[in-house]
Formats: sequence, structure tokens, C-alpha cells
Amino acid sequence: MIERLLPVAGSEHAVAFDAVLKSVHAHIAIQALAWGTFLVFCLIRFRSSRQPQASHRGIAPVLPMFAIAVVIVGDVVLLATMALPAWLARATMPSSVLAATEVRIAAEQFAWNIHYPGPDRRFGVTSAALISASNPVGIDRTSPDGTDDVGLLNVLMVPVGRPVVVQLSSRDVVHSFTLNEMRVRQDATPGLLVRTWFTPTITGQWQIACSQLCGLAHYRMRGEFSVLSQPGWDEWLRREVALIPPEAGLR
Amino acid sequence: MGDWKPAGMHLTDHKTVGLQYALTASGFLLLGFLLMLLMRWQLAWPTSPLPSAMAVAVGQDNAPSGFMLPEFYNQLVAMHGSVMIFLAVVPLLTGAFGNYLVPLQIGTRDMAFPRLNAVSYWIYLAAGLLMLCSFFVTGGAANSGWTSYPPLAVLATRGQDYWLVGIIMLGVSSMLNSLNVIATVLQLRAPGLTLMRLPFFVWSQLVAALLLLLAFPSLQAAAIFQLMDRLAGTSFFLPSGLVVSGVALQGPSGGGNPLLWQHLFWFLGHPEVYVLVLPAIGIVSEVIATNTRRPLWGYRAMVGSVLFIGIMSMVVWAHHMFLTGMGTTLGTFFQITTMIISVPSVVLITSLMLSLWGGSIRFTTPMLFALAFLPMFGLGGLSGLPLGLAASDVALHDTWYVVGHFHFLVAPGTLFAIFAGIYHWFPKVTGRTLYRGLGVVHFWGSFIAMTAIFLPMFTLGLRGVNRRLYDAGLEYTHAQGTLSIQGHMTWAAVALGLLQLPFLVNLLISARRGTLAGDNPWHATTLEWQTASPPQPGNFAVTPQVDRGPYDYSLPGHPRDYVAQGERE
Repeated sequence: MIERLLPVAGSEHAVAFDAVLKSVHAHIAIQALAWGTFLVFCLIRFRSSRQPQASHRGIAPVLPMFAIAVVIVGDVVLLATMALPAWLARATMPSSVLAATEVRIAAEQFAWNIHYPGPDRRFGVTSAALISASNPVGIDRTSPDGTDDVGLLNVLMVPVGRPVVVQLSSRDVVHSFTLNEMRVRQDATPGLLVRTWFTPTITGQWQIACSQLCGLAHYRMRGEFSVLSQPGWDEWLRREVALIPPEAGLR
Repeated sequence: MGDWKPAGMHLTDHKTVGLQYALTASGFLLLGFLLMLLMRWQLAWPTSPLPSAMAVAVGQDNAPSGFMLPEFYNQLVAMHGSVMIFLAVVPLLTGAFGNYLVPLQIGTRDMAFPRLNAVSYWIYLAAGLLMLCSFFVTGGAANSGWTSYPPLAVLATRGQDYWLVGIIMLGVSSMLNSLNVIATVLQLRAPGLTLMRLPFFVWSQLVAALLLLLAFPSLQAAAIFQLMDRLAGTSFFLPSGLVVSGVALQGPSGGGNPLLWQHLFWFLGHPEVYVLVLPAIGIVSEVIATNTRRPLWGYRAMVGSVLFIGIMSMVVWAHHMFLTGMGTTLGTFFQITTMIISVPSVVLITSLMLSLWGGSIRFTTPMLFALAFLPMFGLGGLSGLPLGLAASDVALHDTWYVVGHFHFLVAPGTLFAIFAGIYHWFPKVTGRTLYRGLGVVHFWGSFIAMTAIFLPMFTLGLRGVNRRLYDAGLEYTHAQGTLSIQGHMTWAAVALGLLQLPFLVNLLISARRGTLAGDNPWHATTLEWQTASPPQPGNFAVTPQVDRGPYDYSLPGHPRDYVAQGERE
């Protein structure tokens, strides 16, 4: 029932996270059903016309103790066997980080500035002074690693099947970087550099959303997000690098 | 003051202060509702102009040619939340119900500090009016959400200053009120009324007062810091190197941390949730005991739970911040505390449910609302579970799911408890009963309309649609299929508004023409029913002497089905 509503689960950890979501909702449904039945039964059975004299003593405490114990056990099982392991597994940086695709994303009102390290997989130096419409990230092309870096506005392209590590920051206010299909939602807080990661398992075209109220155009702080096949992504990166004008970003 | 000050009743009398709170907070409740209707209209039809009457009310500046601006929508978001929580629901529970009933239920003449009590009301009124004035300053009212996260709130327009000063004043008002409740309950109980003989409502008020006293200073201090950041150039919440709209921010030295605000805010914000919830459970408990004709099941466990919730609510706040990049140790801690606090909450609701067993249930109007409170509030509480676990929170944080969750707690939850309380104690306050027919229409109408408004929010959230979007998600592919649902929710909200008319009519007519209630129309046990309706100044002709618990209903072998708490053998 829940899975009909959820966006497609497009990353490795999405499966475990969705399992938590489904189990919690099953827990909720069972409790709601049990208590709902109990409530309706009481209202019919103990209505004053059928039960003119109330019992001072009421129900014996055995059943209620049992009900509360069931709730507690349910909570503990959920927490200990599903929710915490899923969260902690994800909180640990993937060990294969060397094989990961790394991007830096600087959020600002109302856009995502996305910095790819290019084929050399090393980020060049950036500088706020170099930020311009054609260089949204402010890449310094004179820096040794900066010549092949790609800086794009609102376009996130990643290859399928390998971990993606996002180094997230904000230039102005708190934003929240959201990829629904990857089950990624991470606040971008100015003054903090936060890393988040995911491993896409399917290819497709989706969107980046901002989840934290960030000002009057918050509602359209949207970006393109695509997961490509590895060859497709390699080809895309080659084309982007070829587009870098030779004198771009030179001081 | 006119009717607010019946002959012989002083402006510092707790009943007068309670009624002042009730009328003022009801006004704010209505205002918060109207702000919500504007917001809902925009969400349902984001590309169409507002109807002409609405457009005129909103003004040309906020809606040129009837098209609402996102600037104004964000003001509605911030002010609907702030008005409802800080100016309507909390003051109704603590200021109105607490002030009016606590001294009566503990059998005393007044609050411990009547004059401070009156002062707390006037500060609250001034704070509320100040917050509302901000709609008329340049840039309009506060527009950074009721949570006012910096740096956005620090960079926001002038209205944010009004909001902050309002919060600081509300902190003073709530401190005076909560100190007063604590001192009154601890010092002024009638002879023989031990703590374990207190009606559960009084316990809920006592714990709510402790929470406000201990938690509100955190937000108050934070509000002063934010005001300094805005006006005095400090950088409590501003890190170095901010670049706003491509320009480096001049002035503040930087070095602050936006997360500090979030911690200070939620340190109040979460206990505040229990301030919204515990007195509501208190009201429902009284109504259920009276209308089942039997004692609350597990009174001692309930008192223990409410105290435990009070303590635990101070150590769960950062579950609102799982997505800030919090470390795993802290995240684990707050997930565990959140699961722990759900247990006493379950005990409270379970006890109320079990109280029905073996009862002789009378379906009076207050009882209808109290009974509906149980499943609705239960659903609100249960839907908090997936938000309290970080792994499932990722999919739901900042979506409509969150909105559905806390509205189930506060609207068909707390607000239904407030309605139950109004129908239950109206005869005490006015001496006359409300018409049942209109009450039943009000109940079923509100029950259906609220369900129709809030239930779809869970599905929107599960589909990943974010809250606080001016266009309801028109920009996003995944939200396309949900836009028609927004329209249904808006019509349900309109219906909810119309269904309050029978209630208003009932209040106005019954206050003058309703059948006379007498001192104890419900045959209830607690002390407020053992004095005149309405109670005279000083409350009791003779100070009650108590030597029994609060709910001596249906005692075996007793000729009547209740023995009042102040009754002597």
C-alpha cells in the first residue's frame, strides 16, 4: 500500500529505508486496527442504555499490561533491528570512496551550483571572486586541477552503480538537498560542509528539490537530476569538458 | 469592559482572566483559520487569481490583480503557525482553561498571585497585537516559518523584529502564568486535597506549567540573540563568508552558527508540543470520567506518565534535526529517547481507552468530542513514529506528512479536546447549557471535514511532496498528480469553517436562552461542580474539605452513581 505511493527506490540504501518505513506503518496499522476495534466495541457494549450501571472497578489490568508490552516490544524491535542499523549503515562513509563519483554542491537562493572534478577526479581551486553567469562555481582555471573541472547550474549527472559522494554547503541560508528517488534529503547549512552519499541502482531522469523554506522562490529551487549508464556518463563528461572555453576563468 | 466584569468581579479574578484569555485566544484562533483559508486557496488554485472578496481583503500589494505573491504566501505560512500555536491554542489551554478551572478544581478562592495573573494576560494581548501589526509594516509580517531559522530570518524584512519582540513578551507572559499555576497547585489546595487526589486535569496543567517555565527561556534567549543579529550587528547565528544574491554580506563579523538557533528553538519547540497535548488529555480525562460514570482507569499510572513525559520532553528536541548532518551518536541518542517518550504517551491514551470498559457511556456533546479525540489524537501520535526514526524520516521530513502528523495532534486532537471542554464547562461558566442538536451537527461536521483535510496529507507526504511550497508543487514532476487533492482539501477547509457556524450560534443563543444548568448538571464529582454556576467571586461559600479521590463514580453499594469530592460522609 505504502509502496504504491512512494517514489521509485533508486538507490542501494533506499531498499533498507523503505523497509523501515513499511514496517513502521504496519506497526501503526496494527495498533490503529486493534484500538479502533476496541473503541467501537466499548461504545456499543457499554452505552448507557445497555449498561445503566457502570463498574467502579473496570477492566482487570492483565490485558492492558499485555497491550502496552506489545507496543514496547514493537518499538524496540523496530528501533534495534531495522531503524538504527539502516541509519548507522548509511552514516558510515562507503569504503569504496576511491571509486566514488564526487561532486561539490553549493546551494544558494534559489539554485544548486554543482562542481564536478572532471576526468582527473581532483577538484580545482574555486574562488567567490570568479563566480559569474558562465562560471557559477567560480572555478579557477589556472589552478593545477582546475583546467578540466566542470561547473554547472542546477544539473546533476551521475553514473549508475557506483557510490556518489556529495559535499554539500550553502552560500546564504539553510536549504535542504533532496533527491526523492534516491531517498536523500540533507540540509545545506551555511558555515558547514556536510557530506552525503548514495549508490544509484537504476538510470532515469528526475529532479533535485529544496525541502527547507529558503525564501520567496523556494518553491522553484529545482534542478535536473539524471542517473546515466557508465558509458553514457563518460560520454556526457567528455562533452562537457570539451565545452570549456580555453581562456575561461583565467585571472 | 462591559460584560467582562460582572458586578463584584475584579479584573484580577482568575475567572475573569480565564474568560479574557478565552475570548482573545478564540479571536486569534479565528484569525489563524482565515490565514489558513487564504493559504489553502493559493495551494488549490496556484495559477488562478483569488476570488474578488479575498483579493480585496489581501490588498493590491500582496496580490496584484488578485494573484497572490510568494512573499505574501510565506507570511501566511509563518503567521498561521505562530498565531495558532503561540496566540491561540496554548493560551486557550493554559490561559483560559487553566486559569478558570485550576483554582475551582482545587477548591480555592483564586490563583496564588492574582495581579500577576492579570498582568500575564495583558502582556499576552499586547504581544499578539504587536505580531499582527507586522502585517502592515514594510515587507509585511514575519515570513520565515514559525521556526524562524537563521540566516533566512536574520535577513528577513522588518516584520521579523515584531515577531521576535512578540515572542520575548510571550515568554514573560507564559512565565508569569506558569509560575502562578505551579504556586497555586502546590500551595492553595483545599484541606485534604492531596496531590494524588487531584483531578487529572490539574496534573496536566501542573506539568504543562513546569514545561513552559523551564523551556520557554531557551526560545526567549534565542529570540533576543536573533534580534541582536538583526539590529545590533552581532553574529550569534551568522557564519562567516555569507554571500547573499551574489554579494558578500557586509556588517556582521560572522563566526556564528545557524544550528545554535535550531537547538535553542526546538529545546522549547518540543516541550511546547506537550504543552499543546497534556492539558488536552487533561480535559478529555475529565469528560470521559464524567460520561462513563466510572473512575479513570490507571489514574496513578497516568500521573506517573505525565511526569515522565515532562522530564523526557526535555531530551528529545533534536529529533527535529536529523537531517542537519548530526553525528551518529547524537542521532542514536535522540532516536532512542523519542521511542522512550512514546511509551508514556501510549499509557495515557491506553488508560483513557480502557476507562470506557465497564462504563455506562452517555453520548453527551462533550463526550462525542472527547471520544473522537482518542482515535484522532492516536493517529497523530502514531504518525510521529516514522518521523522519529531517522531512516524513515529521510523520506518524510519537510513533506506534507509532517503537516498531517502535527495537525492530527493539534486540530482534531487538541482542538477537539478544547471543544469538549467548552461543551462540558459552558454550564459552569454561564449557568446555562448548550443545545444538543446544534452540538451534534458541529461535532459530526467538524469530524468529517477535519478528516477530509488532514488524512490526504499523509499520502502527499509519502509521495514526496514538500510542504511550504507557494505553488503546491506545480514545478515538480512528482507532485503533478497531487494538485487536485489540494483542491479537495481546500473545499473541506471551507466546509469546516461553515460548520463552526452552528457552534457560534449555539454559544450566543445558549448564553442567554439556554436551559438553566444548576450547580452540577452532569452529576460530576470534582470540586468546580460544588459551587454556583457561574461561581461567585471567591468561588466557594465554604472552603471544601476533601477526603476522597477525584472520581468516586458508581461506588458499589452507594445509592447515587457519584459521590462528589467535597462531600462529607
